[in-house]
Amino acid sequence: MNSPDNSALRASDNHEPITPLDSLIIKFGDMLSTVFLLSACIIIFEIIMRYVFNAPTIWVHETTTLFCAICFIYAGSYCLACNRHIRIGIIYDWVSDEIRHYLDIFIATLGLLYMSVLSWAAYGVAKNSLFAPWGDFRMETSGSAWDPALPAIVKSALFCVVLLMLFQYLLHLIKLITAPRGNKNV
Amino acid sequence: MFELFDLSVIGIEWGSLLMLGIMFVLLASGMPLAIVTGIVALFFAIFWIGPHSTPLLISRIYSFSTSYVFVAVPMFVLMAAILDRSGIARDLFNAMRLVGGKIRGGVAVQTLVVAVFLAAMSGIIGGETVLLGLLALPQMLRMGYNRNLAIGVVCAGGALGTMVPPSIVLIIYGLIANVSIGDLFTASFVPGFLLASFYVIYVLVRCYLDPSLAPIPDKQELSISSAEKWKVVRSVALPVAVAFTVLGSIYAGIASVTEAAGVGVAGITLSTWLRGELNWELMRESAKQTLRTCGMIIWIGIGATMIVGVYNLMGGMRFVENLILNFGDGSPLSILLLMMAILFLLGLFLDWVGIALLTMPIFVPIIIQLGYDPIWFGVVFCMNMQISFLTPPFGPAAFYLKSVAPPDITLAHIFRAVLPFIGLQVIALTLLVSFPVLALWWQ
Repeated sequence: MNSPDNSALRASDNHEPITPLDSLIIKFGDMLSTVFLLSACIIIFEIIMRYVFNAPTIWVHETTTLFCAICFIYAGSYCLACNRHIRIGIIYDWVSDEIRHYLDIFIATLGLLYMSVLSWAAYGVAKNSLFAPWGDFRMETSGSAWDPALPAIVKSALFCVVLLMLFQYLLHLIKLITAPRGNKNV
Repeated sequence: MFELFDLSVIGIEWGSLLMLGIMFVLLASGMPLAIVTGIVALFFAIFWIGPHSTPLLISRIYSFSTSYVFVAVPMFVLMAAILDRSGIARDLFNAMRLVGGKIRGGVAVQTLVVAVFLAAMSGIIGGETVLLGLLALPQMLRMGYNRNLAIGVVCAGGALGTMVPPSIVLIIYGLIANVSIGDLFTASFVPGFLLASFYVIYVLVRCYLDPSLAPIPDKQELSISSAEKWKVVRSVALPVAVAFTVLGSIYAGIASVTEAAGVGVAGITLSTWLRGELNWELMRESAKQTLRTCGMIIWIGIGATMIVGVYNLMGGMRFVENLILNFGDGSPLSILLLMMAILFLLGLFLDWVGIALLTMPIFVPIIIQLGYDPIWFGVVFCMNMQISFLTPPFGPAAFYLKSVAPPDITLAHIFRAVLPFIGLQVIALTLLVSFPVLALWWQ
């Protein structure tokens, strides 16, 4: 953001990563975000091919969809790492540091629970998209003229990211419980 | 599958209340909306319907994140992010001085005109409010404009980003309601400009009635050499042309919304390059911001798409439909007013993404059943969200402005200053509801 930094004003506006895993996720996300630039280039390429050379491609739509879908899913982990998910901060910002500490533990516990169930569900779906019912490896494809393995890749990516977020919450929780109270955000 | 205790015995009435109650408590604890919706959805999926329903939720996430139209969202965000980081807005503001000039309240009007131009180039409100807060607010304060007027103009103008097409609110609505986004853009054109012109008229009338609100600058400040004029005009001509190309290609049906957004990114990048401002750092920062914004939107979407799916399986949709259809005297108008009241209440606390994704899957079928046009309702929804951007305690526009406003301006000042503008929004909304033709004249 190009706005002046006043992030210290409210506790819910603290965008510093809490754990080393979070820092790593942010670094990788910063790199991954350039995929959006690549997607824009591909879209332009398709328009030029279609209108100038009259040779529309068959792969552009699904490629950009795939790129963006992977970024979208990963962005969940990224936003978790830098605390960008939208939350309602009235009570959270108003209470004392001690109560906020317990709120953080509460949030991280439920987040962990959410990700555990979601990863269990996503695992089943990802497995079905990668393996045929009789156990052979075959990637589920989109069924278009180009027929890429888009569903298999996206569903696997979803499982991986959900698993990643599970670990993020786990580390948050460990840090919250073990850290001395009061200076948890150092 | 293993058996869990069955929550569905309590019936859909109590189930809905329980769902709302849990959501409210969790949200109040400061838990991110994306997690709240997701965990409530999974809770009800497992204990109401049974664990076998969870793969269905995952496939809902899959189809949500892989729709091609959704690719337009990061493209428009990227376009806005590049625009925010270039000096285009500043030059646009300077160019408008040539227009504003000696009219009383000229800088306020000029701010609003720039806001509309910026809105036509980007579809989000954060960056725009920040830009106007940095550019226009200090200048108006320095010239001795009435503080409330200046703040209100910046906030209301900045919020226009999602009313004037291209707008991300409309893209998300189009995805949920399954209507053409191009049509939504066309429909929101007149209401968007109507709202902006209300602001302009309000400013002019107030300054006319009370000249002390907006002192006229002395001659020296206004005199610009013609060489300078030419330079300013040239520097904004291309970006403005890009905005027209993007909208024009959507309206003319040449390009899909996603393609037009891609062209917009290329156009803005090209303009930035021609202005000598393009560098790798700028593009990378813009891309990062895009990732952040998309993460917020998509994961609220993931949670919301699950909760709507579960609620539907629980039979909740039919329940809410009956509840709403039997409200008051059951006339379409009273039902519409009820919906807008719900949108207003939610708007006090929730972000527009959450509101759209949670309520529209329920509201849109009812709207169609009542015989209203879903495209018109999309514009009505967008107008409702305009109000939610400004209303306390969570008007996002106010918070964005606060982050860049001089320290002596508090949130309370900002919320007081936007009150008349909320009034104008209500008038515009009333007009839109009374005369749907404002949005549908082209059909």
